[in-house]
Amino acid sequence: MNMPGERQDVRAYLAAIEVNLGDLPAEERQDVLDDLAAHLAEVAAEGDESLTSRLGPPEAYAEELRASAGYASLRQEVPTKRETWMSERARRWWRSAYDFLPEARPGWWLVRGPLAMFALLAAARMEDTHGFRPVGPFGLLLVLAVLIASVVGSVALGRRAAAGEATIVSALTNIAVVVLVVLALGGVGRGRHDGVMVVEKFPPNRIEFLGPKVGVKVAPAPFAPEVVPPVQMTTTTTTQATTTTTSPGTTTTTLP
Amino acid sequence: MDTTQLLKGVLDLAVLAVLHVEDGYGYDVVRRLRAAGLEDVGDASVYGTLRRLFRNGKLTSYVVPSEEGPHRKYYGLNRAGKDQLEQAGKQWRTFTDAMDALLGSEEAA
Repeated sequence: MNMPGERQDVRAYLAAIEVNLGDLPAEERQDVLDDLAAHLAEVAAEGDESLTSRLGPPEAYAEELRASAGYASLRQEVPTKRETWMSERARRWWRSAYDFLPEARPGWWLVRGPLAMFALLAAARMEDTHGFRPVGPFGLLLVLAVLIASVVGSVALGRRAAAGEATIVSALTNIAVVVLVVLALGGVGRGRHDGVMVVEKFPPNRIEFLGPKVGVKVAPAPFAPEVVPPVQMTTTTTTQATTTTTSPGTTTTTLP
Repeated sequence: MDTTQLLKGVLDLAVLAVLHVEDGYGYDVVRRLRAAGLEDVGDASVYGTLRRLFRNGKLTSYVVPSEEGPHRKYYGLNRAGKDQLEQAGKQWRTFTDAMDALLGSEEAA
């Protein structure tokens, strides 16, 4: 039979544990406390000692419970910076995206070779040079051969990096590719319409990324003028490209 | 050797084994573990282990109402729990056989 003193003791002990489990989801916490209520009552009824002397302080009890139950320790509950500003959904999305990255790595190995080549071509076309351009079928074969070699080499390098070797070379390669791409997109060759980049400053702004010898149809916004040379900037344009207007408002640019 | 360290590793197995014999509620499981010889087993650890096994889908639970006091929540093994008991039991026997062999060869040498 429970003595009033015992009931009070149990209630106080339980309350202290409840505080310690405050961060748990309400349902889980309630389940645990329900279990414990009966348990503590039985323990208290068994002898004359207080619960604290039999089971230890409630905070320690709660801590031990957390540890064996697999809840995070209360002392380590300081949320990381990311947790505080990311909502639960964002965190889950980030987690799944982050987990996918290792799978995407081989794709990067395939892509970075051709990417670097395009970037090099873009960067190489400068004021009075034509840059690297395949001439005739033999030239095309050469380009293809280099392209394939770059892909093969990139994959081989990637696999070695994944195995832990050649990490420095791999890192440098990645940096180099990114730098090249940024340079190419960012404006080395900007404004040259025989370059790989065509930047129209006329509204709306558009950036077209062209490969060598690829023609691109540019459909401007309604208020673009009828005859639109590919570049509206102050730089002098070379006459390498032919510009034809097929219909009002449509410009076709073909590169030699 | 401090038995609490040993216990941490095998408390799951011990709890599963106790529940396999018969369903039990928290304090009941604690008592049976102690009666079997694991005197150092911590109250809170047993509860935490029961909660964790339940959350991981290894136990069933049901409430038995009682006239005298608060109703008790009983835990029992489900299929997954029985499988884990079997698995972990095998691992345990392999482990203890190895330890026995080591200790046995120690004495012989």
